Amino acid sequence: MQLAKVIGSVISTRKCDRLEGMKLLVAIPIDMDTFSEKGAPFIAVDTVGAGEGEIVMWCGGSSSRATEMTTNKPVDATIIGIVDNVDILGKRVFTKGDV
Amino acid sequence: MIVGRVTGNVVSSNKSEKLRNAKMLIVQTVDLSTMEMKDDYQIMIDDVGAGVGDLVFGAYGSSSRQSDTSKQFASDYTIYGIIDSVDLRGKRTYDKAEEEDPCNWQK
Amino acid sequence: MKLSKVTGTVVSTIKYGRYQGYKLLKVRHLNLEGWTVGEELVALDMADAGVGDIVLTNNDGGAAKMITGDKEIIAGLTVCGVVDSYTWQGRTVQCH
Repeated sequence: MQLAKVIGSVISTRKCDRLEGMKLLVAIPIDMDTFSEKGAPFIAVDTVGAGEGEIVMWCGGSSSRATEMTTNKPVDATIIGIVDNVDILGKRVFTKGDV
Repeated sequence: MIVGRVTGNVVSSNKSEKLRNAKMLIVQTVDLSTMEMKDDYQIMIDDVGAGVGDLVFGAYGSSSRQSDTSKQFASDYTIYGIIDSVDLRGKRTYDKAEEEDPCNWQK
Repeated sequence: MKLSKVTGTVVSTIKYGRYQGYKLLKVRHLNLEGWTVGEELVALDMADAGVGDIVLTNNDGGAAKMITGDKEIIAGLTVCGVVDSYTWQGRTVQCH
């Protein structure tokens, strides 16, 4: 699992019928040390109702099809949680609403 | 999921049985933050009826063989949708309806 | 998949049992201008390709299992087709 920040969304009407009803979000990877954006944005399927600006957890590969919503769906990146706090070595490094 | 622009297609008659009747398109990857096309590409199997000029998204690895049609092909990258619009940080950065000439390389 | 050029063959007598009977090819990826890029790679030949051919190389282990019809085989790159021609940005390139 990795952290990313939701920065936008994608709309597609003509798509594979197994993707019908799925929300496609644009996320950008987050550096765990500084909580700054790092790397190239990508598209991920939302299963938790995440919104723009939120830090989320996501997973890729075949694990992205392990949620109920994405079983047997052609999906290779899934947002599986919204992050509230992050503690590292006893210190709170991130609280929701900070970034 | 990867995002790219369809810029061509590939014809192959002597190929694996598991690629028979597969429509293979050349998709050049697009950087979502700038919407610029990169030199890098993938040959992707089309699952949605995409054409040259379309901005598409797709999946790779085992996810590229999950739909009813794509599971019969030995694919590593499959196109699963044509993108209508992209919103980034509250701004619409791509809109298919307002795009003037997606194939401007042909001039 | 990527376009690749077959640059040679690889002969191996002592190899992973499931590779018995398969031809191994040396390939290099092509960019869309037709130039070879990156390092030399070894691929399992499933399209009866020859040296000099422009081929399609599939870079997925699961797809390799499908192409070979062997559910147990462990393979990375497979040559799964010989390219006749490709059209890119309005230009058609004949490959043989």
